[in-house]
Amino acid sequence: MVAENTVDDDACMRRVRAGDIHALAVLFERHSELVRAYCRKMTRSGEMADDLVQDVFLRILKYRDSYRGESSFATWMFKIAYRACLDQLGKPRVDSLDSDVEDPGASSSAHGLLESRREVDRLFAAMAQLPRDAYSVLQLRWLRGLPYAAIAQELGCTESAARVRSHRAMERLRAVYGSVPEA
Amino acid sequence: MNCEEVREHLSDFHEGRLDPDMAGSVDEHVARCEECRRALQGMREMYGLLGSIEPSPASAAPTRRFAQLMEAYQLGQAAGAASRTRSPRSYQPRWLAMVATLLFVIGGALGYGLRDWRPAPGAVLLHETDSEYVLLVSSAGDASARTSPVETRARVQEYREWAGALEERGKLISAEKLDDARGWSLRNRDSRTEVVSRPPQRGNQVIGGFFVVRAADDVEALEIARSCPHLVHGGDIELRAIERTTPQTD
Repeated sequence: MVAENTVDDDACMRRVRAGDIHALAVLFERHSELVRAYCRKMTRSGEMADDLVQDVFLRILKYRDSYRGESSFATWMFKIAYRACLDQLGKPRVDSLDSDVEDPGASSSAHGLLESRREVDRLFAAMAQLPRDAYSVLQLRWLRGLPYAAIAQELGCTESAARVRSHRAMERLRAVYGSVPEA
Repeated sequence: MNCEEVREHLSDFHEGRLDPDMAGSVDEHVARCEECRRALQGMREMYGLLGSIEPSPASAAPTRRFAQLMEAYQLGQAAGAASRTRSPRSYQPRWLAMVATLLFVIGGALGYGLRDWRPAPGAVLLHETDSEYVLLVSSAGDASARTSPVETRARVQEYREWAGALEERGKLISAEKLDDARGWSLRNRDSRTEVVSRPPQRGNQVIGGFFVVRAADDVEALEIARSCPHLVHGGDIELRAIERTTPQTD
């Protein structure tokens, strides 16, 4: 399932790779809050998260030539975010960018990080690929923890409309995230 | 209930918001449908993961953070370059990084030096028949020009000298660089206002800044515009006369 903004993210990153830094601003604006939430969750620290977001986007710039577009931009971005978090925590790293193999020599907390990694990475990458209006209601609800009344106000709709949007967005997300294809 | 209906209601179901009849139907369906059972499991997993995210309010001024990001990147680049070449002149890295950031971000157009220029008040007698003109400077969106710190400094100096000469002659009214990250396009679409939050592009040109200058006539204005170093560095300039309002045209 390829959402329109998946293609758009890919196009933006290709432009960054070609040297158009302004295109990175677009990606930053779209994804920085989500990356921050990911880093907060992975490092279990709010304080490090802002610095980590900077680190992640600097690495996106630094490693732009390695972007191939084989997986989605979101998947690539969260791989980079994962490594940045791991480096921050000072734990042994998984070697290859594409390897999913867990390092048997890792300490127990790093192992714990790796254990849950796949689901978290998949979920965040799925969120990043949602159409913007689906993403925004989930952002308000889960990233900012707003109650439905506040969400409705932000979106300019009624509270019941906000709930409907939220439920639709959750189903959309589940379809992207899960192995079961959309009905 | 068919699978499509069940999927539509999985989220409500998980939150316990379905009325008992509906909830019962979902329960029944899931009991006999493998795929929907997996879908429900996926939904539960997702709620678990999302619920474990510690919420945080939106960060203030995300565009400022992006500018800081670019600055950090340029500092890294400049530090790398400096360690390779020994320059006899010392420079303040922060100033240089700011300049480099701005050049980098807007693709080699205006330099930081322009922000310092304000014409001295009352410096020159205004010629009665002088006109005012706007110069809009723009450059290509894709910054193919990668300027080295040495080149950057040279360019900033050029702009400074050019603006300085204009100011001395009483020709410079205003000079501003536009914030590349904070810009919007507003359009009327189907009687709704559509706002796109990125600096507007005309073709692939982005306006990076402007000058307002004073000139005796169009010929002189064109001369001033031609002399702007922006052209030499591959940018475009749009020169517009500001329409004069005289008592007769009111």
